[in-house]
Amino acid sequence: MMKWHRLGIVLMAILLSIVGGVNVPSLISWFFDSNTARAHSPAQDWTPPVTTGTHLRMRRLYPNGESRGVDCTVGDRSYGCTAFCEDVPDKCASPPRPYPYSSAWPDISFDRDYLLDVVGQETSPGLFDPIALQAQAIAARSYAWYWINNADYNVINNSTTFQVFLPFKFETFGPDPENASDPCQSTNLSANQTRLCQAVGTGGYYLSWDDADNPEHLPALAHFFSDVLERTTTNSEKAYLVGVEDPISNANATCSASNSAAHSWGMSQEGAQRWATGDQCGTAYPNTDALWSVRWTRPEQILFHYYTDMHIRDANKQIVATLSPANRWNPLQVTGMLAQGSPILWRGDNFPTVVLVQNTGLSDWLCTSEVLGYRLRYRWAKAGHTPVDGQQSTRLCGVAQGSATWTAVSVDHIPNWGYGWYTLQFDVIKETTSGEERFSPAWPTYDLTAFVLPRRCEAATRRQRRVQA
Amino acid sequence: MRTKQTIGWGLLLVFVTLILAIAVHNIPGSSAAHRQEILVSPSPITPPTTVSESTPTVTPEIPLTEAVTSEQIPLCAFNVQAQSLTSTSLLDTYVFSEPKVVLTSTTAIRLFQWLPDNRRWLIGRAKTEVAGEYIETFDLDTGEIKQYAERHSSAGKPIWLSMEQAVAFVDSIPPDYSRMLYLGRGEDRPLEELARDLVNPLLSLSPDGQIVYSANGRGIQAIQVHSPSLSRVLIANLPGQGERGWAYSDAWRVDGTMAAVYVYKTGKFYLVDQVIGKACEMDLGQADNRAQKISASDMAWSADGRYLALRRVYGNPERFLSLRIIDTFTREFRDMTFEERSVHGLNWAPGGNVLLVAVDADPDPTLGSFDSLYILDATACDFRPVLPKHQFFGAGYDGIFWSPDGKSIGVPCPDFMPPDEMREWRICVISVEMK
Repeated sequence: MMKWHRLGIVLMAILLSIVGGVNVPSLISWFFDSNTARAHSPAQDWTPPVTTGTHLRMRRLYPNGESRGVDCTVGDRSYGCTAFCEDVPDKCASPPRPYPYSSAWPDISFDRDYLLDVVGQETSPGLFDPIALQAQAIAARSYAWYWINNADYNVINNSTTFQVFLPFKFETFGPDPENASDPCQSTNLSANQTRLCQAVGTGGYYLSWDDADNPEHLPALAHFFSDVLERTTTNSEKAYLVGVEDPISNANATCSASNSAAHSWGMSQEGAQRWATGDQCGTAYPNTDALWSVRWTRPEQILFHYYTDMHIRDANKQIVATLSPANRWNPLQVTGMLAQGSPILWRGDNFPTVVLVQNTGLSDWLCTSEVLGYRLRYRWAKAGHTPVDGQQSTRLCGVAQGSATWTAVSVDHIPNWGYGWYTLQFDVIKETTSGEERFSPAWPTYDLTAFVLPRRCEAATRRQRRVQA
Repeated sequence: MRTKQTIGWGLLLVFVTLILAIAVHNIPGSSAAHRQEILVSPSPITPPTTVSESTPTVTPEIPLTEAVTSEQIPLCAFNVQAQSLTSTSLLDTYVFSEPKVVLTSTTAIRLFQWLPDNRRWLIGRAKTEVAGEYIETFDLDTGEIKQYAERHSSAGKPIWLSMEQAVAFVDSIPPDYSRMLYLGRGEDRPLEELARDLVNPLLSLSPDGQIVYSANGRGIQAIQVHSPSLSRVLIANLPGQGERGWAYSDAWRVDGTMAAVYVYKTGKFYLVDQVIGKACEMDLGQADNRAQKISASDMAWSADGRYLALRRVYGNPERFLSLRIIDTFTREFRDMTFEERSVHGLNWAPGGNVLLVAVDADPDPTLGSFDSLYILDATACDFRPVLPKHQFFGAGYDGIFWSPDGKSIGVPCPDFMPPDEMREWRICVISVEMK
């Protein structure tokens, strides 16, 4: 009896494929797997996909982004099937424009179609910093690929069950690209569309956890969410989704962060924007509202902050060496004079500084018989002068991956290079019995600039001399 | 005693004033220009409120095309209602039966309305493979389905005109997708065009069932079903009202004396008193540190015209902030939340003060749009679950309704398997008894 059922289903699937372009493999898999285990194991010999293949199902969505359980159809103007919809007020761009694909199972390019719309939907390019947009693009790509490997029947949809994908979302930010098949090659893009292209066009980068159990370099479940207060949470099912301190997302009076999301695993989108702008309100630099003592300038700083034990890999599954060294760190907060936006330092004075240092690398900072410890150290630099090492912190031991610890360092002994802007290049040093190993240049130093003035007494003496003269 | 007499005379005076106002208001032609005004300060049906002398009003001389600035419309003087928990609640008297499936479909169905005859539903049934839907009635007694119209779109909810035994609905037709208002009488009779170039697909109906309220680029218009050419604009000039696209939405009190209007472009929410011809703006607040505007969604008046309920939402996709219940008699409002969960839909009981709401069964969006039902007493900060063991997929968005006699609830109850497998569309009936 069961065999006849199966035969009927196969015949129906073939018929549907002829008539309506329905995805046969997925349908067959859908029916035949219904009595077997639902979760698929990740594909072996996995290759980063270029297109969605047979893995994307387009659904009409409720206004909250959840699936209605109804496929998008030809001519559909429902929310979810097109950003130019007509059924949800305030969320539909106008004038209406129907669903662009010929079936509910479109095979579309990740980088030239899907991600341009997804990133535009998740983080408005007009509001978000380019660095935060890049981080979002890499996270979104990883997230989609993860679920294609792991979802029931290897099928994702366009709803909040995965990540919201509204066809034509990219077109809501500017004109229709003149090059429809490769929008980012168009010359008529708006500024916001260009920002989206720059964010998505990062070489197919994705996040892959660095562990012996991931020899295929599979994409990580790069969860993200809108906002969280002070700290993300740990997802016990994924070792790389460790809760991390997020002090820039605090309860300040101007623009308090909030726990508004359903979960807080992985990357906080508002947090990413705050780090990218160096502002607790996430206000675009330099028009800051509530300046934070730290600002990050590279998307990998954001990604490795929120995702632990992670590598960024390219479309060939190779580690992107320039972004993804083994030893990394992030400053989360700086106190003291250097916490100010453009500090003025007097040579000869001492400026006690405390830094919250996060271990974002691929191993815990353990002190052993061979590894003596890790230290935060800075270096003075100024154009035309040889950099000079400054002070260092006490040894940091036992800082686990993702964790952060406060450490003090005295900023003093400013070189006598005259008035002007100096750079303090903060770095982490690994001390071993055979010498020391700097994290830079593989992982760039964190640089702060300060305006240096001569010794207070020197200045006073000069003023006195001028008065006497 | 004297105080009571004074109150009595006062009430009588107010009553007479109100009757006169309504009479003048209803004289054909005499109030047409007046209706085009903009308008201030909400008032309950009884007693009408006194409008401050200093309150700016818009004179009839202002042409419809001239915009009114936000500064000309004062803020509504409403207070936050104190949380008052009553020891005994009328909600405890409600007893609900297990849901019973009464309608199934192989394509998506939505419940638009429980018709006043208490026997039929107005439903939408999606076409297969192409966009659009069939607008039908479903007879709960006989199971008969009767088609009244077929449309290319599924935007907006059609409304039933009992006197006409017909359905009014909005459709948008390619290639330009301009929105048209039609009347469908079924039985293969041709559709009647009532209006064109609507700015949104939302409709409401006058108490006598003869006037359809809709929105065009000039304002909210009242369309006479029998004489569409006599249609006139009721509310215009609200800031942002004349924008293109889905400019605003409105909801009318059952007696037509007051409208709630939300303008999407500006994020402003107004209560418009049709009797005195004035409006006031009610602050909906700001959503988050990005100061996103908050939308008033699913605005619905209670049957007695006292309460207005709406969902405060923001963002895309929408995020729920609170269920706001405005008491237009006491000039108070209350924002209600359900922990981390969202309210997706609401419907007032025919009696007046009890609200049926559909609330996210689980705040995790990856688990599907399953709702739990609650009843809520608008007079107190009190609510109760309806069948706590049952969850209904898409109930809030696809329609929850009390029957006109208040003895049943209609709710979508499809057979949906997470994460995304719809096995069958269904609508259920839950019987309601009072202990």
